[in-house]
Amino acid sequence: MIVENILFWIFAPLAVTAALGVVFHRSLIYSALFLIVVFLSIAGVFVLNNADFLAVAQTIVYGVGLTIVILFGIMFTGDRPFDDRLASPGKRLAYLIVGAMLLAMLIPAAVYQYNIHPASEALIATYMTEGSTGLLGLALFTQYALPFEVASVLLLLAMVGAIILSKKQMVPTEKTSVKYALPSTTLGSTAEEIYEKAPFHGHLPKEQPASEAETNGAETQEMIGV
Amino acid sequence: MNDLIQSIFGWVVESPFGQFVSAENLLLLTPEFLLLVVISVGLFQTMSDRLDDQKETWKLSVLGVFLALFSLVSIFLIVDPADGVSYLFMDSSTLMPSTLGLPVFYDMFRADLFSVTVRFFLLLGTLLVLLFSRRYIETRSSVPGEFYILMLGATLGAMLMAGANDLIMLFVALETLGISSFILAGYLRGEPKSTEASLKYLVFGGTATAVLLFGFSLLYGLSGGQTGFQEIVQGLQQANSSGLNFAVVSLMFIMILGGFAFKLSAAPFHMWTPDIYEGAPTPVTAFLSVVSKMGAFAMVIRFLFVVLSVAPAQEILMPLYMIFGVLALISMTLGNVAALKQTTIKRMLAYSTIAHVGYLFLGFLVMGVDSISSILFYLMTYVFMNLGAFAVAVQFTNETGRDDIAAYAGLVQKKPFLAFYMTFFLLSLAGIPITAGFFAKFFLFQTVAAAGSGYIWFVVIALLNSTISLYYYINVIRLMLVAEPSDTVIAMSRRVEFATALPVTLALMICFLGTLLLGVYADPLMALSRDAVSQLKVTDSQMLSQSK
Amino acid sequence: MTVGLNVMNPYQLPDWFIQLHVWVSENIPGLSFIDIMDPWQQALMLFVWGVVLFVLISFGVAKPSVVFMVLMERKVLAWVTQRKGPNRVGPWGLLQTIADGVKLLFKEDVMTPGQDKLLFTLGPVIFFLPVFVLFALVPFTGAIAQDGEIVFGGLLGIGLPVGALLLFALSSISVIGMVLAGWASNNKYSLIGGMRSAAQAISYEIPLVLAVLAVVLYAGSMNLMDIVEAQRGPLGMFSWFGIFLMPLSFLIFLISSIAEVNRIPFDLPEAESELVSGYNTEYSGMKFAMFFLAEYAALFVMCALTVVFFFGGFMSPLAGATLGGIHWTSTLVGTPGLIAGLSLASALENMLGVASGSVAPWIIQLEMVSWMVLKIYFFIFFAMWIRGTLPRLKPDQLMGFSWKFLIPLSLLNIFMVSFWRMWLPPVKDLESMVANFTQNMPFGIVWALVLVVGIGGFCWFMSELQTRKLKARFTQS
Repeated sequence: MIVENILFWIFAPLAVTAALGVVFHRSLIYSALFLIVVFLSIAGVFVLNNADFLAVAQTIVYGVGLTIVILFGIMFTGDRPFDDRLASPGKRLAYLIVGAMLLAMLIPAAVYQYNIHPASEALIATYMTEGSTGLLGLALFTQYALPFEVASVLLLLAMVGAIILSKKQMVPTEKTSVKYALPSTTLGSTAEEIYEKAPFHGHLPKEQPASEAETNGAETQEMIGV
Repeated sequence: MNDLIQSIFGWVVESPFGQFVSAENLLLLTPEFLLLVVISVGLFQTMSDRLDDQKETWKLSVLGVFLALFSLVSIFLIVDPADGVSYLFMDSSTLMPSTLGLPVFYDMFRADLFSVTVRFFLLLGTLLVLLFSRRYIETRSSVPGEFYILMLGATLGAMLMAGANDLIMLFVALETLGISSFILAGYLRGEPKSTEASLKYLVFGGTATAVLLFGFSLLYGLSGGQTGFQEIVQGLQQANSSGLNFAVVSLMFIMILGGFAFKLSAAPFHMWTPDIYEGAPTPVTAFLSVVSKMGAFAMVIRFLFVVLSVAPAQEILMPLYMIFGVLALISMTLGNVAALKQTTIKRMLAYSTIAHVGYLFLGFLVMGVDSISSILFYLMTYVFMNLGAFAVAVQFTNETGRDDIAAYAGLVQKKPFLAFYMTFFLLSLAGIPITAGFFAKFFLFQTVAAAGSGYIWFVVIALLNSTISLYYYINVIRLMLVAEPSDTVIAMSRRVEFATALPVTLALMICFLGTLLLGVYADPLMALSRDAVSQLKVTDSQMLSQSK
Repeated sequence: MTVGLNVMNPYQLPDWFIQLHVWVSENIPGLSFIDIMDPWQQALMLFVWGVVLFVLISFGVAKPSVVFMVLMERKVLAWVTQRKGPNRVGPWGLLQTIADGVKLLFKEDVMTPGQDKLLFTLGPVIFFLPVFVLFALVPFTGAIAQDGEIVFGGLLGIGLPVGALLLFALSSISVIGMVLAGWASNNKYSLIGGMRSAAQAISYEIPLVLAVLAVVLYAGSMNLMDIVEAQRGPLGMFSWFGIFLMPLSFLIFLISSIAEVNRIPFDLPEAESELVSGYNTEYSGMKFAMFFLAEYAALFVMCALTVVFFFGGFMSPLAGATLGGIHWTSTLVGTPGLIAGLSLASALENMLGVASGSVAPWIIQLEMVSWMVLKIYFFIFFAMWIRGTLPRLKPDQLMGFSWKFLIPLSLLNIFMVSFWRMWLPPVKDLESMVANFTQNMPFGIVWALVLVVGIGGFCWFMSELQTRKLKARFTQS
């Protein structure tokens, strides 16, 4: 037990300290780096709990993949230090009080002895020799098959959404213009008029006439031999 | 019927994959599978950049939702050959649910009467939203295809929420709904308000989910490491023999309730609602206020009813039930008072949603079969009346590009039908007789008042609030019917494009008929919701002893 | 890993190391930990030994090989471009790298104002450390068992059940080092280099892991030792399923691993001509040396993994086969699941007519190490050959290639490999192999269909997309 205890008391305070660093450090880059430390220390705690697969997955997905994207974002937008004046003393006092109350509420939950059944000897032996991967896979394909599959739908939708939100908005071409006739007084009856007059699309670039585009396309096709 | 199922799903069951699933599992989730198929096919369709191809997705989605509705009804109609009763209803002699295998996929999902009913109305709501969203989205977005896909995805999440019987399943379904909604809210990227709504929703929603998850983790610990609802109850009972800590249990309850209250936009967790409802595209607002709300309510009802209102948790949490009452009072009062001074129809309906959630929370305060079933009935009527109001708002915005209340002035002179529909739905929302809203409110308040003399005051305040709400609903009606036409209305054309107005008209007709029929003859659906809710209670206490 | 009371080797250290530990404890008075009754303290001691082992292997194996590889690279490139390469310091320029290393050590460590000093220093360290830890995970030899007892644990740092995944976890951590170095340099070219490296690493890690996933799926384990063991079959080197059953997987892995270690044609993060060598522009002296060392070490590890996953690891091409009347599998094998990829040694036994197992373990180990190193250096040579031959890609081409081509292809590959797994699961003898082959013929037919339809359809789809894209591009301009 000594090794575990020593390691736990390395990882856990490290995670908490780094989490405080995430919140309180003035530089965004350092906050992101502290976040990496948090994730890696939690991966360490996972290892201590026999969850080796989870620990490695945590390292790959959160420790690196996620934080790299965050770092990417920060580097694109620049690292501006937080302005402390944003929070007035009164607000800070309020935050402090709310935080302290939440902490006080959490204390009984932290010290409570949860009645979780200990794992059997055989299970621990399996964990130690084969690791948790096989058992995890089995659980995912039997007991938790439905949530597992739904999670894949969830990720698919999130991916589609991310693409939608970051995709360049295309203006429909003449050939495929919006067929709905809108009242001519407000917007217009063709796609071009709508896009010119509508306030929500006023900034979009104007599409060139389709006829010209088609000629170009034909020429190009000849050029590249399609 | 079983032979048919076998022949359809037989090859799956006989394949190596078949050891994990059974034909019943697949059958009871057929609507979800259909939606999934439509999502997959539709994504291929939307890969094309051409707008015409993108528009095809709408037809596919409507077809998919319609088929899903149909399959749901056929699930409902499967009868036991022995006594001719639907499988989903209880066996009248033994009070046992039938043997079709209500637990689906290792009891992750319950396809009982409650979830089938809720899923039916979720699908109906989505169908209505799809019907009136087409023109709105296709004139505003150059990639309308994914809009429908995401909406179906959100519906899928909501439907799974309605039957989720496990904390993990619940969470995954909740996130499927949530993430799709975040994206839908920001779908019109050209509009800053839409993007703002999306971002706000994402940040608020993420925080609320984190709090909810914290509560779940406490529940997981308290029950000795269980995630299934029935197992949690058992685990809590075991843990209770050595004494559960009140502080921890109540912390768990408060955190979970906080998360739920956010999802239901009950005050004081309502801050996000008006901004997001206003910023999001109007069909999305309609979707969020009806389908998303209904799914969230179904989830909360099942969770509270199955886990927290049975033996050990109920005794410990009894003193905390007053929180529901407080939330209800704050929500209805704040929602109604704030709705008074709103200038846009979307914001007004947002605050009115908060107020309605307040009324519904009174049902949780009592937490009996009657009150919960009247919540369910209220939600059914809410699908028709609120979606109807939104359909009119969408149609008005389509024709004029405006959504402020002042622009509605004198609408009756140009579009009498539109004005009439709006009047009817607003009256229903206010709870005027011969509309569905009246019976919904009546049943709810009546069950609450009947539960005990202590609850009378809540009902009195709720009635007062209904009176306040009448003011802002009537205000819109007065503008439409009496006031001089606004410039917007004067500019409107009297002409009706039949082809483009057909889906919206269809949606309006369905909403109107629904609201009217439920207002005249509410008994069948009231009985259905009572059956559904009471089966929820019976299923979960007795199924346990039966299966274990 | 949690330490169990009844398990004496919780960190799965190699046996010879345990023996060393016992020897030290018995013979050196102050260190006799073996007498301590508390098994947890013993475990702690073993943990300390594990750390020592890490350091030993990392620096014992990695440093010399890197020094050699730098020279090799210069010689190979010279050969490709018909030059002589370094030939002044020592015979054939053999000491050139050492001279360069000494020069780097004595150079001034330049820091310009405006740099974030902490991150600037931390960058190379984060880049450097995980790569060297990786060496401890690569199995250079297998364990040897005799009558069911392991007599020699094999030259393997730690055999973990999640070994294959841990490799990628660690190698991805070093990307953070690159990004930090780019950021802290306060130089726009460095920043672009760092960010390119981040984007590239994330993009190519996915096909890399998916390619390995196919191998893991077929072998049924993520333990690198087990994966090598699974490749020992009745057909000798033709049982190396990595290359013969899933060539697609191998190709994807090869391409992605070159991208992962930022070498030409994927060396955009450190492109000399456009970014003034990218994220390490501002570095000099020892810090630069760390980048340099780590890059070559990463190349070495990636080539070692190619060998482990696809080329039978430390096994000889004959291991497992019966040829010329000799069963080229060691009779030393006692425990299933343990490695005995021997051939020459067992042949020696057969020829000499000595009792099996009488060949000293170190000879067998030497043979295995030789095969491993030989194969690794073949792939290192291959990477250098590519560097001398191919031009660099553009960033958008690079990203598009990963996301639009490699990732769908590797998903398809996994789908097909799962058919392989049903049709021809890894077996140890010829009879059951034939039996599987005939018995599961329907699966085979389906597989062939999937192969044709899948690959054909994918290629058609990609070409169609490309055509459309080109059309659209030319239509717009």
